[in-house]
Amino acid sequence: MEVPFSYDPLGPTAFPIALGTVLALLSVVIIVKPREVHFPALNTNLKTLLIVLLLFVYQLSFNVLGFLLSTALLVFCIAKIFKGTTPQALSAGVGVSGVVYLIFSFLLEVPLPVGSLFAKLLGVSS
Amino acid sequence: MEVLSSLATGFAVVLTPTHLFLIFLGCLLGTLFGALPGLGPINGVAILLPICYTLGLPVESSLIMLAGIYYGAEFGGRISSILLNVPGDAGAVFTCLDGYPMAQKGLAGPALALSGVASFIGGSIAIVGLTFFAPLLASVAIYFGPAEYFVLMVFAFATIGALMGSNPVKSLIGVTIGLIIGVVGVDSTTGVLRFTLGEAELYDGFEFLIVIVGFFAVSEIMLMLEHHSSEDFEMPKITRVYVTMKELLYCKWTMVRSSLIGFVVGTLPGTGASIASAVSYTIAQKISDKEGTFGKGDMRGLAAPESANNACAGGALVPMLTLGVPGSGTTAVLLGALMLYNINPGPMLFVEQPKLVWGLIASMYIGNVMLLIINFPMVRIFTKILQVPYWLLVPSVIVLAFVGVYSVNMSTFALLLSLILGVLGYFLRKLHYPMAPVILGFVLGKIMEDNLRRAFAMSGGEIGIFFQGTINYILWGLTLFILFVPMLSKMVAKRYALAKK
Repeated sequence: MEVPFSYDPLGPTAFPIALGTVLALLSVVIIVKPREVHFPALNTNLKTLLIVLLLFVYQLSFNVLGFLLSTALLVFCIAKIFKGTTPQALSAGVGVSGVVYLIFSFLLEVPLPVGSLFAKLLGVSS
Repeated sequence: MEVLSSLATGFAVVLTPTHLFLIFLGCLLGTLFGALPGLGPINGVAILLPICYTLGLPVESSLIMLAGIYYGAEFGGRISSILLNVPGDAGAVFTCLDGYPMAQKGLAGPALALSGVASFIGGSIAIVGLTFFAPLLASVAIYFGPAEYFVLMVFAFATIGALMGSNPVKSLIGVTIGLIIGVVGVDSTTGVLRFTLGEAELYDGFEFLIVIVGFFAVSEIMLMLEHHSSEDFEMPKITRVYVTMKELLYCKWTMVRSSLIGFVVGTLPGTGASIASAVSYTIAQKISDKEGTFGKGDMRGLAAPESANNACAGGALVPMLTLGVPGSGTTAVLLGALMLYNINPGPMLFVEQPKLVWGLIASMYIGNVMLLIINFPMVRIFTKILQVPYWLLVPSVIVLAFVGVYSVNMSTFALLLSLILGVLGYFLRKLHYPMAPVILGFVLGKIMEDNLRRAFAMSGGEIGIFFQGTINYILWGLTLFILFVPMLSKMVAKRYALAKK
């Protein structure tokens, strides 16, 4: 990154390089003088991974399935992970997605995606 | 007096039905977020900030409401600490020490009432301090040049390293990570792209909302899986929800002392409620614990951290409003909120935005009284809310946070970034890295670099500019002092232990 400005003696690289150096030095300290680390039980690790996957799928499906359906599915799954019964998870899914949709599209006037899939099926623009 | 007339301007801003309602709403939502186990002030503000922003409120209204959420959450944090022994966040840990034993002795109601009054006193003393101390500091801060600013940041990070968390190295690594995240994007001076990986959405850098929702909402959800056993707790019976005059007078000096400690600790850049309550509890114990009742349900042991963490919230606003350097993790989020509205925080804030600053301060007087009033009759309702099952609470929180981020950016890429940062935050938190330094680093990074480069540009590359002028000397002196505080306190503790033998 060569920059021809004379009024900025430091340039855009100095600060990030300094930060990298500091981080490297601090990491050495941590490696030389480590303290105890407790990892959670494997059971919760798998569930945590599942939550991340769900959120990833949510993010992908957000525009395709639309806000209502993808949110309802997400809430249903997370509710199941947090030990809700199936009827509880179902009602949470429908309830949360519905209430949030109402708040955002009517109260805050923020358009949430209808879903390109449905838009195609119904023949309207999404 | 000038301060009083400014304050009157502030009240003129606040005393409208809309603003009164927003203060009330902020306090209510804040108490709720504070009361829910696992969610503290910082999550509360982080989750509700995007929603506030989409509401399209003017900046002073947003700030008034968000600040209400902040001190409301410090107020509400005591509820789950006392009843369930589950602190909402790090600042409420010390409330558990004597609050929970009191509840087990059948004194849950008095404990709630006393801690409510203690919070109110802490909050009130801090707001008065803020009113008189902040304009004073702001009038000094006007003389800060780029070099002084840079040294001030060094002081802030030294404070974080020396005082925050159990391991100073980890706090500093947190700060550095925050600073590095802040570097991403177009360099404002030269227009060079830094660390954007060719991703057009990253040209503007990581957006503030994405970072806080990732670090605080997403990682919190992942952590909740591991300790959400509060369903097994038996809720203690709540009897009388008031304190007697005798009980209040018994704690009066503890409350006043702890409020002052909380305020002072709060004004130190980057420290926050956890340190304020820890320091005040330790001191209260050293001074008052003659019979060894602390930790077994001593009222003074409950009053001390509660007045301190509320006083700290007020104190933390002092450096944020006057210097643009937040005093705590939550004020870092508030500072980010100001930046979202294109307001440059710093000493000129008092001159350029008197309505914003004084409106905020005035709103805190009203909010604090409101909190006291709504807390007594509504404590029973809040305790009901504690019983919201996790299968409903967790997905609601995550959906609100995600939709908030989406509605500001209108892009699912923002959600992906939040998720990635959330996973990073999860691992950092798992490894006991405190999160507040990361946010402070992220918020301060740009200001720090800009001032560093401006100072060098002014001096033509001479490093001497950082070591001249009274303000720089004072700041370097303070930095050295802060770095030696842990060492000093260890020495004093050793002496103390020796003297006891």
